Amino acid sequence: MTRPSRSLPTPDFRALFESAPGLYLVLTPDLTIVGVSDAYLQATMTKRAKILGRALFDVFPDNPDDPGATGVSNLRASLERVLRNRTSDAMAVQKYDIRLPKSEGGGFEERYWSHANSPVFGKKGEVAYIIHRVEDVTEFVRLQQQGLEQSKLAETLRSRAQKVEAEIILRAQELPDMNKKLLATNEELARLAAIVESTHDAIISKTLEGIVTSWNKGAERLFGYVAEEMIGKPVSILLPPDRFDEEPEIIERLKRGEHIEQYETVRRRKDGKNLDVSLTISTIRNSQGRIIGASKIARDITERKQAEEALRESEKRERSIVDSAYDAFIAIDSNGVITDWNRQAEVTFGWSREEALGKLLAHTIIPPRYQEAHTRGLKHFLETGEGPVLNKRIEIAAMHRDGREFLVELTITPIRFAETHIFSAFLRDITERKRMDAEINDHSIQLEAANKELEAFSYAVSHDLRAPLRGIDGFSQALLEDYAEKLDAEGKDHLHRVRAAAQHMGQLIDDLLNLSRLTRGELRREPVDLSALARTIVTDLQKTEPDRQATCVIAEGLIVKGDPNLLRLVLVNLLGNAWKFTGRHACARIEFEVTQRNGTPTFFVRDDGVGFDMAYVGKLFGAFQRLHDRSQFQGTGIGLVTVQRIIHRHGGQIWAEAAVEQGATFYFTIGVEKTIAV
Amino acid sequence: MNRNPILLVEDNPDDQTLILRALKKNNILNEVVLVRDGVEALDYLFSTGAHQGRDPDLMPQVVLLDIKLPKLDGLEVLKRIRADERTKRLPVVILTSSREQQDLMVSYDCGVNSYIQKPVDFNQFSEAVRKLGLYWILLNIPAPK
Repeated sequence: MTRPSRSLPTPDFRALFESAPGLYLVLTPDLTIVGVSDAYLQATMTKRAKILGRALFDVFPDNPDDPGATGVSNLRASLERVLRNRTSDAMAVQKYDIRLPKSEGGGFEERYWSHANSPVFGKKGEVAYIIHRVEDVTEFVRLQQQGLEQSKLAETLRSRAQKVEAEIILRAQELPDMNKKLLATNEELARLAAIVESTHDAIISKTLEGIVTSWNKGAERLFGYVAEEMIGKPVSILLPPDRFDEEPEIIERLKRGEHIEQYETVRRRKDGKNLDVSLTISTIRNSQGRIIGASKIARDITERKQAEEALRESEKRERSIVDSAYDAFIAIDSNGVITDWNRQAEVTFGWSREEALGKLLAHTIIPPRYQEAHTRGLKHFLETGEGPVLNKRIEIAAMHRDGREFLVELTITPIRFAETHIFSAFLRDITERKRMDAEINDHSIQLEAANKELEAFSYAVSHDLRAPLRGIDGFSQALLEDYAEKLDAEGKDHLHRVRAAAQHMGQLIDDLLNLSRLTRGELRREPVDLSALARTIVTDLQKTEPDRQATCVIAEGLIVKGDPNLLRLVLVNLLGNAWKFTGRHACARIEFEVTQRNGTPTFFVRDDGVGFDMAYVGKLFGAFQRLHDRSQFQGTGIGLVTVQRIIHRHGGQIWAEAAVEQGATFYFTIGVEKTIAV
Repeated sequence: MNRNPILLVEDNPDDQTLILRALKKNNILNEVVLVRDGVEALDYLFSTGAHQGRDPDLMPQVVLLDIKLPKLDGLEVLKRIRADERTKRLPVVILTSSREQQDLMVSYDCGVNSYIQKPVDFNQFSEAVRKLGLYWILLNIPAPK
């Protein structure tokens, strides 16, 4: 069962207020009178209808006959404090003369009042009204002034005065509190002034006409002008020519009451240098709330601007480096969300940078079956700091946008970044390399097999082909020895030819075996003195035919890096050829020297012998190719092939220039050791 | 002159004939024991198989050993000779067609006393055999028994 609520009748508050015994005015924040008690009307000799809706100070102006009147200004100040501080404000005693109605002769009557002004808050917490409460203390003040001898009057007024006195005491008690507030305010002001003076920022105030009214130390430092130079001067002195339009615009905005926050612009110093500054400008209002000027805080942001510019530059550079990297670059945060993705990553994985940023790495490049391991690994690292796959080169499967999987090689580097981690990695698609590795491996196996086969072949040649030749030669000799008397000259000659042929073939087999040995085994690389080698060889040649008139010129200090045994074989062949093919000339000249061809040291062996026709130069380096009749010059036709193979194994080149009966020159280079670019 | 025999291990009949001819031509009159494969060579040296009953104390003055041989090749024969107390100091000369590095190195590794490649030219071959005989039969002093 519900109890019926008994509603109270709503009292007529207006009637109650107006008939209250105190002296009350109700004001709006703009100080318009919207309510008044009957007692107030009576005390101020006014009529409700005449004052409601009117401005307070129109109704109660200062006494024009009293030059020291402070009523209006003090009361306004008190009311403004209420509005600003949102607390009550009291005034102990205030002289505030009251205009007499015309019926009583007009003019002003001296009156003293004690005020108390209190805020009334609206629903949104704003100050909606001010209740202005006064006590007429005129009689009390007069009493004080007249002295106590007027005891009679005093006696009649005593009861009233006591009441008023109590009121006064109460007000007076509020005064120290006010003083304390005032003191605190003063201290606050002093502190603010000190801050203004000591701050690095320039703090300037100016009138709405743009004339400087204050100029702190910061302003002196920043702009190079001292206060004396600037106060009273237009602030536009600080504008660089291309910004003259700015100041009027700012002033217009200030006049509209706008607050300007961190406006970045350029100002000019006294020394003519431009400064990047950030301006914060606020209006200054007088006690009536009228805008009378502006305060400006200017901060030097040159360094910040430069730092920002440098940062932008360096970011741009980094991005372009990262973007131009041959490898894909990806960074993720500790949640596995992609935070960086370069151009090569776009190519490698098929996601554009815009698409990839913000996505989970697990959902872009990690094959589904590894996604869980990735997430677990990340979690494990964040919990324990352990990451077995971090900071080392690893190969793992990655996934292209189209679902295709491939192998990538990467190194994941965790970077501690404030309270979190960033993981970055350069990744390289190694599919192609893997394929090539496999191919190289195949080739190596094939090559190894081929080498084995060649070795077996050489062995067979070495051992098995020579044995029959020994039989041919040996038994031919046996025939010549044992059956000499049964053979005629022609028969013996035939046997000699059989033996010569067998021996020649033996020589060919030896040369071929030597040639095949050249392609096997390690190539040594050590300093070889070609000059010294050549001298020894030439000396040996001269010993074989001491009667020959041959001049041999060998340049000094020809030192190269190569295989000493093989290079010796080169010179033995080239110098031997030169010796051989000058053999039919009465005197010969053989040179071994160096020249520069295309910046490469080029050695040459030159003779003035029979030479050859350049038409056959192509046959020169073919195995068993001979440009001369064997009856004229000995040889198997394997010497230059051997030389060419040695030179090629050293990474060098060999070529020849010659003319018939005008000698031949063989040029060769020794390649430098190949270095592997890191 | 030492009359111990020469052990010739050679499977090629032409080479056998030519070596014997060269020895004879150079007045090397020691008995030449001819064996045709590696197994027989070891049988002779250790008086086993076909050579059972041979006086095992009579060791050859020198062994002329071909590499490429039926059954057991020359390098294997060399190893067995060096591995046995009775023959480890026996002079062994490899006489072969091969000049392959591999053969040379293995031979020396196994403790061969000399390595000679058979020349194609019989005159050179004959000269080599002459020097060989001179050296190993006249000059060289074998290890005491």
